[in-house]
Amino acid sequence: MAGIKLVNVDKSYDGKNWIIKDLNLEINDEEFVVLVGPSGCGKSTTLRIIAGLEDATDGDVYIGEKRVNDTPPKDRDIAMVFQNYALYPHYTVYKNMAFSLKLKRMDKKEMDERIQAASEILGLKPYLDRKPRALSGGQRQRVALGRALVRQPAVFLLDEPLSNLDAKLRNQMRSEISKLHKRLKTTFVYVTHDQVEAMTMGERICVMNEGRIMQYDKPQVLYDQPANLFVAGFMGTPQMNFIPGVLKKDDSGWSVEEKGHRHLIPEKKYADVDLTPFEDKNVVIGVRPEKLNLAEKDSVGLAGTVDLVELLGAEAQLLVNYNDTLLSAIVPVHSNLEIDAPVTLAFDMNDAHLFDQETENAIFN
Amino acid sequence: MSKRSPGLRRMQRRKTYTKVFAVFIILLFLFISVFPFVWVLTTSFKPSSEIFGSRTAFNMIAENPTTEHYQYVLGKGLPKAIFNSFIVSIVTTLYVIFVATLSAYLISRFRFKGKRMLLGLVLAVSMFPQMIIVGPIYNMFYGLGILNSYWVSLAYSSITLPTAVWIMVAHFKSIPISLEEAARIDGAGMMRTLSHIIFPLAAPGVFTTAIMTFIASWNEYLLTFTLNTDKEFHTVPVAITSLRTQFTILWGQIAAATVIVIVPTLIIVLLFQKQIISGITSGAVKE
Repeated sequence: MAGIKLVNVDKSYDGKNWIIKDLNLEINDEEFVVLVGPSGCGKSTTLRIIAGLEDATDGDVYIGEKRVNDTPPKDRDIAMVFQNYALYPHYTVYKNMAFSLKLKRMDKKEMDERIQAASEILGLKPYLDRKPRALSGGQRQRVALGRALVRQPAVFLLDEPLSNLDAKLRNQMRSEISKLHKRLKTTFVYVTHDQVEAMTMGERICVMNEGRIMQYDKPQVLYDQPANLFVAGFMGTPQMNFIPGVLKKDDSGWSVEEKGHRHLIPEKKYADVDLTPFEDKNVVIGVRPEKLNLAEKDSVGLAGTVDLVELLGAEAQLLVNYNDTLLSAIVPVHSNLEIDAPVTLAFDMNDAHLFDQETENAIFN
Repeated sequence: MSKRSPGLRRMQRRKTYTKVFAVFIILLFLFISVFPFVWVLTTSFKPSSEIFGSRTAFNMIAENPTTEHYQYVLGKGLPKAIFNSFIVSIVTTLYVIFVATLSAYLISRFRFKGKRMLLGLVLAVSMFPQMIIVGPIYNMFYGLGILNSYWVSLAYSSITLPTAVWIMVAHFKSIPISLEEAARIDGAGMMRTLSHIIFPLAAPGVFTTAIMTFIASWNEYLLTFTLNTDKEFHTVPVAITSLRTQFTILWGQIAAATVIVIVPTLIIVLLFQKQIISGITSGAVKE
């Protein structure tokens, strides 16, 4: 059982381009943490540094109390599941799982018990004598998990384990991995580029971009209180709408002015924040699509034209061209809107987020 | 027959002509490459008188077939030469596989300065004509005092190693690196990863390389001829050239000996041609 701590970790191959820069991350014991971000954001590299497959150029890596920078992967008490499974193709399922235990010179009886137990959990019993090529994608994924499981490691590292599976299987494996975590009560670090996976599985999510941590918190916090424009745009589908404007103050209070509209900010929104430093500065209003509604006829709102209607089943996603900004709104299916039809959208400033355009950081949520 | 447009018919006729032409070219090519072997085979069973006689020389089948040439060559030094050939070829093959595996693994897996240059150099070396390097090799062997010995394997490997390294690099590169990382995490060291994971997976490549090295060594002539002047260490190709007297060349015996040399190569190629082809081409495209 062990937590993980990365302190001021840097990674670069050539000393010029930094894949990871000054990364600080603490993962508690028994916690399920998801590293998420677009490709090239350094999430996989972070995982590989924890695993010991890559060296940190600078900084310290701790697993438990021990600094492991110079510890080889096999002595770090970790197990890793790879995106392409990385099963040994010439070994049977049983031997794949036994490989690491044999290298530890574990006695045959205990080894067999562990493998039987793991294959019981993962439903692999009927396939122990098969070679990986005779298995389906989902089964291979289970073997990869099983191979990690038998080692009873302190930390599980999973590198996009579900990205090679089809949608249905992915959903199923997602919940199985979550269950596995609850059952094993060990630390899980899970890398994915899929924010839905991150939201559903992670106890805490670490959103990364360009080698830096953008925000590290519980899923609901990331969704409700994104720390910056990147997190706001990355978490949630469809993406959050961004409407640029200028922050103004007058007798009626604070408001955001954009293209003729004035959005008055309710007082309770800035009860805890001092807005004065941002006066007359460029800001961005953020509104989630589900908070953007069709306005009553002839009422004041964001008037635009329909660009696209996408049926999602129970509801429809509406893309509206508003002053050359595309806004998406979730509306009832029976709205019967046609392309290029004029439409007016409205939202409540109580549901809006406000970001500083210059630093991209949130002013209030 | 259903009615077809004249254009279609013309196109089909042209197709037939092309086909006939292609078959003709193929047959011609086959004849040119196979005929000498057939001729050697028939000659080896002809008594000497029939090999030269103006009436019998062009017969495909001997009038009085005989095995006297085989008896002669097998009784006179050829078994020793065959033995030498096997020793030298097997030693060369094992040595080349060992060195090529390690170096190809290193080249395919590690980043180091001058890697491209190293690979280029290996390729360049394999393109040197043997005649150019035979002199320096002779001097070296003379200096080391290992002329007339089985050490000739070492010289053989200098010729077969470059190709072997190139084929193996292609094979190692086709094995996903995550397998090695998985093995590393599972606790395997580099040598165990190589022997338990990489080597078995590269087996088709290793096998191809082994066969090609063996065949190349088996057919090698120049190096043994130069380095091993002592008859005791002659390999079969060299032994064959000594089948002559001051004034005549013993064609019958040469033919018999040639047939004997070809046999192992032929068996290997016929048995493993599929593996050889797939071994050469695998790693060329992503599967």
